Amino acid sequence: MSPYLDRDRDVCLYLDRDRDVCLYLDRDRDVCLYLDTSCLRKLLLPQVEWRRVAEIVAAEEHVVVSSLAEQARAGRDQGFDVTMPR
Amino acid sequence: MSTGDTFNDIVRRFRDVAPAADFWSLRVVEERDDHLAVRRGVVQPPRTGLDLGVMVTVCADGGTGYAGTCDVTTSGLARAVAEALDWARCSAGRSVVDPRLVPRDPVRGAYASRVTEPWEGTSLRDKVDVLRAQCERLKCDDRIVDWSAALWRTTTISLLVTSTGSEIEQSFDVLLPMLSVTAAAGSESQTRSLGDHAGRQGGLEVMAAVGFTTAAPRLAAEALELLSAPDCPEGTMDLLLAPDQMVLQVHESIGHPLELDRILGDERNYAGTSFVTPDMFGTYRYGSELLNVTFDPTRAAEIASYAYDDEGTRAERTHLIRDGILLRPLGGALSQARSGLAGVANARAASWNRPPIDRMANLNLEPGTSSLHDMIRAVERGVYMETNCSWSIDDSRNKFQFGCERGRVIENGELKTVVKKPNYRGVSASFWRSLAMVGAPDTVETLGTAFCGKGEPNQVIRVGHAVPPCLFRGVEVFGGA
Repeated sequence: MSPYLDRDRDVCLYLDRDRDVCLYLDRDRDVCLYLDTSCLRKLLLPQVEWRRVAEIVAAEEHVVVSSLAEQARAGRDQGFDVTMPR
Repeated sequence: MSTGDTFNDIVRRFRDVAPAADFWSLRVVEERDDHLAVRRGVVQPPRTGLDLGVMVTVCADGGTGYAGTCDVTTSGLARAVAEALDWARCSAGRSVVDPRLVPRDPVRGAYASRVTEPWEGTSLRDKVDVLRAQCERLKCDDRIVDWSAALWRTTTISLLVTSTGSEIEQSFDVLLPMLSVTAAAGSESQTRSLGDHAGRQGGLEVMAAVGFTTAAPRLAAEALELLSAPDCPEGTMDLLLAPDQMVLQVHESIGHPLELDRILGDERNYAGTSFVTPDMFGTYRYGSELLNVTFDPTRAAEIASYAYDDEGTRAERTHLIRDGILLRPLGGALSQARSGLAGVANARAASWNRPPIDRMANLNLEPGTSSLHDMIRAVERGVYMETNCSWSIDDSRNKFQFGCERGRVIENGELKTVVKKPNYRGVSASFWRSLAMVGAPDTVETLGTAFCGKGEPNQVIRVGHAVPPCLFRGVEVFGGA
């Protein structure tokens, strides 16, 4: 599992290659799925219900993620592996 | 409160606007709070709070929506219905569990707290006089710099009506008597209290039941004594916890880790997760063979007793841990459907404007066979700690550090020196395995807290813990924190 964040685009992008899940923020949309940190982590860490959450997110056209995305990006920039539980 | 007619009117108006959906429920809640306090001999402004509102839940097309409102007119209820229905349709297909899989058996029932001395049966003047008298008894020395006595009474009436024919009315009367006394000399100050953990269901009779009317002289003397007491010793030794510390130990390192929504990962945002995982139930050794923990909303006086939870599931006494083995989580009907694990009736909401989530209710440590005297005699070197005053525990409710107001060194089976600032630390996953003796039924104290916080948006709720004193071997103890 390898989350990837692209700061150059006008979106926050998570790409989970193993699970084929993309999450991104589209600021122009009025309605989209919001993932809070608890839900987002179900995609990032292996645990109960991750498959169902991944299915729901994968079926969604537009997704907003919580501020954890920003924290994860900061962590990655500092060299932390944000994919593994500590 | 004039609830009967009002509740019936609300339900009647709601039925006129109820949605055509797979399922709906209406939960009406009316609550009145009264706070009385005397601090440093001065009567504080009495406070009364009144609150009335409803929560509408709608399940439609595989989604669930909630809408709370305090506008209980027909138009207000219609707006709430429309909003809940809208949310249900938005969440359809996007839920981790299909709400149609949650059992919704029709239930009719009622519950009422047992009250011997109603709050209204004693005048405001007489209640304030009781507080004044306790306050005067606390101020027994010039070194007493802060002292207070207070009563917090809450009466709540709830009515749950569902599209499947359920109708459950419950009323709760709770009294939380509080005493606090702080002594100071030089740079040292010490506080003793009877408070946060002494609430029960009932009326003014709770004051005597929890020792409110007799504790003041002892608390003041102990606060003064602690001023000149040495710090708690440091080292690995036996630890004997009084019930008013056991309440916190059970709450934080058994109660919260067993909440099924935490285990399923819902609470990471705020309250945290759990070191417990779903595969542990049925086999995991949580503690020594002396550890028996029950979910028990059936004890009349305990603060979180009820007959049905806020989703209408009938509440029953259930072992969560038996002979040290973990059996069940604290999970309501929805969490049970998500996880496939058997749970308990613990879906509870803090008010009308919150949806039910997995809470503790009454979580009790079942008594053993030892007297307090037996436990003290069984200690060669250790500390007896009373009354929680600080707590810190990690987000998976595993590693913890707790502090108490008062300690006493135990040497060769006897209580010795009083010590101040006693603390201990441990790890939930191993701490309970060091449980060596458990107090007999006559040592159990019916305690709890009115301030258990969890959920986003936050829900502060009452939870009960009936607990005996317990002895633990080989615990890391320290002072001065």
